[in-house]
Amino acid sequence: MRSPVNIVSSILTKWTRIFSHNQVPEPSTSAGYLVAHVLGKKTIATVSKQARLSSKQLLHVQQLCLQRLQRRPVQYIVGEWDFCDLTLKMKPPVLIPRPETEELVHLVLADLNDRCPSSALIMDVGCGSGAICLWLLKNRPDDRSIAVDISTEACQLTRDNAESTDLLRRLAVHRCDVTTESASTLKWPQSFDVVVSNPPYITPAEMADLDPELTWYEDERALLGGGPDGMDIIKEVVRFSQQTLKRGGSLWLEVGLAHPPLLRQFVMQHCTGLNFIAAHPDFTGRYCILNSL
Amino acid sequence: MPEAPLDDNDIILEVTAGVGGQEAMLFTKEIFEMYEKYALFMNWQVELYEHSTTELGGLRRASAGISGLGVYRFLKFEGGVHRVQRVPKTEKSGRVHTSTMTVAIMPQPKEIDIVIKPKDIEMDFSKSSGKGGQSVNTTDSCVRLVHKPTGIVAECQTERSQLQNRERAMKMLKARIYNKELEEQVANEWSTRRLQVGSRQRSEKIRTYNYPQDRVTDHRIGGNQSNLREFISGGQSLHCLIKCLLKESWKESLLEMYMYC
Repeated sequence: MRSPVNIVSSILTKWTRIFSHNQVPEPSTSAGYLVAHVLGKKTIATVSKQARLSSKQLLHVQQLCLQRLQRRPVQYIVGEWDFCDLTLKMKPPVLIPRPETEELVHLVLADLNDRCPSSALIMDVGCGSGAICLWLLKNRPDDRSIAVDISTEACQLTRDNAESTDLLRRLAVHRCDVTTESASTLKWPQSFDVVVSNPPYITPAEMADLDPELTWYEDERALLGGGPDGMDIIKEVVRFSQQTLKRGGSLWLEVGLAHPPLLRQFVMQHCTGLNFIAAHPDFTGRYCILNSL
Repeated sequence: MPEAPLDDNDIILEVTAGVGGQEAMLFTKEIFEMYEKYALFMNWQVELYEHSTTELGGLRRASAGISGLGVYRFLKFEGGVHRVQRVPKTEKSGRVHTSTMTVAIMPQPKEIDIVIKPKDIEMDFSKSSGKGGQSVNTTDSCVRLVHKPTGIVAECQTERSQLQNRERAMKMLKARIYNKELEEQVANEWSTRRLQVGSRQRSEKIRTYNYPQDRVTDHRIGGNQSNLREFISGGQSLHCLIKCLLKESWKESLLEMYMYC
């Protein structure tokens, strides 16, 4: 006997099949999140597979799934996502935080707790949705932060997320293009204990291979690293940080897998006053720490 | 009542459906919910680690971390096989069936109790995430950890954040490794007590829930509790039985001390 069409398990099976058939990545995970969202839950884990959906809910699921069929990322459809234990609003074209960045903020936190036991001033370059600066502020109640991004949408989203997490009091967000900032126009010379950045670092070759989820919906400025090796923006962030870091301050970067040795080379040759400490030996080897001498 | 060494620890509660197919899985869900409600009753915090539901609304297995005051102390004798006797919803001829499920209560180790070398742990992400970086958008945050020296595994996908799943999987992994060590120690001890904890209990039938006769029987202390529905709602009724079990256990340990003095 076939199960009625309005129970969760049938809906999940149906949409997983449709997504799969249309080459939508992560078909069953996507269906799970969208159905859970309609039922007011974050994940499908605790939703009873026997639960029945009302016709209104069925329609809502359909609307969301049609968006997914157009390769809209789940995080944008649902309008929010979790970054560690923070729930943040997500809105195209602002970059959706990646799982690797959850690692980065923990490493930076350990560093801050070590070097600045009382309070610190943090800069987040390319803040996007605000994930990095907001998570650090939440875990370091006496710190203050300045976040910059080239995108007005990103700046607004960071402010919105700061407000909803009650952190706006300790954060100032500025629209700023670090590639055009020079020493004379700089508002904050040698001020920061830590500069953190997850700059765009995708190479031209990788760009060609990106899924529509990225190319159709996320800001290209948040992805394209620039230059044949995708290092252009990284280098600008390093240059910018050199001027904004305190003596003894640290720059933390999340970069592409191939970048750490290239960055080490660049710093040795072009950045007197900065020391490339290490590519942090974590599970993907993409976190770099630079120290201002 | 004197406290045993682990009484203060937080725990991981694991439920697994046993014999009885779909009916066993429905019963597993009911017992898991009973403990969730009991945790609420006792003001404890519950973190969900695993929750494997079936197409027909049952629960195959689930794991949750429970933390708070005296969690292990109160729940330690809940481990074992729980049995239900009733007419299943799907049963047409009105016959009473017996199904089982297993509860495992594992104390969570404190920092000093357990040392795990990071290199001993293998971490698996789902295929589409993990090393993707900026070039991939992923929502599949499932994390699977394997402790290479023992082969013990823990998996979590109850959260949207990969890091949170990893933290929970790690807690489960540590508790399972710790419990394996504890059980190896206890296995060599000999005791005639009815109320014991450990792997021996995993296969012992400790309680029967009989719906037609509306009674719950704990096989270690005997006696029946009526009003099954109240009992399974995880409130005062369950709490009373647990207190009886604790009192009985204390008496037994005193007796044992006397016998071997």
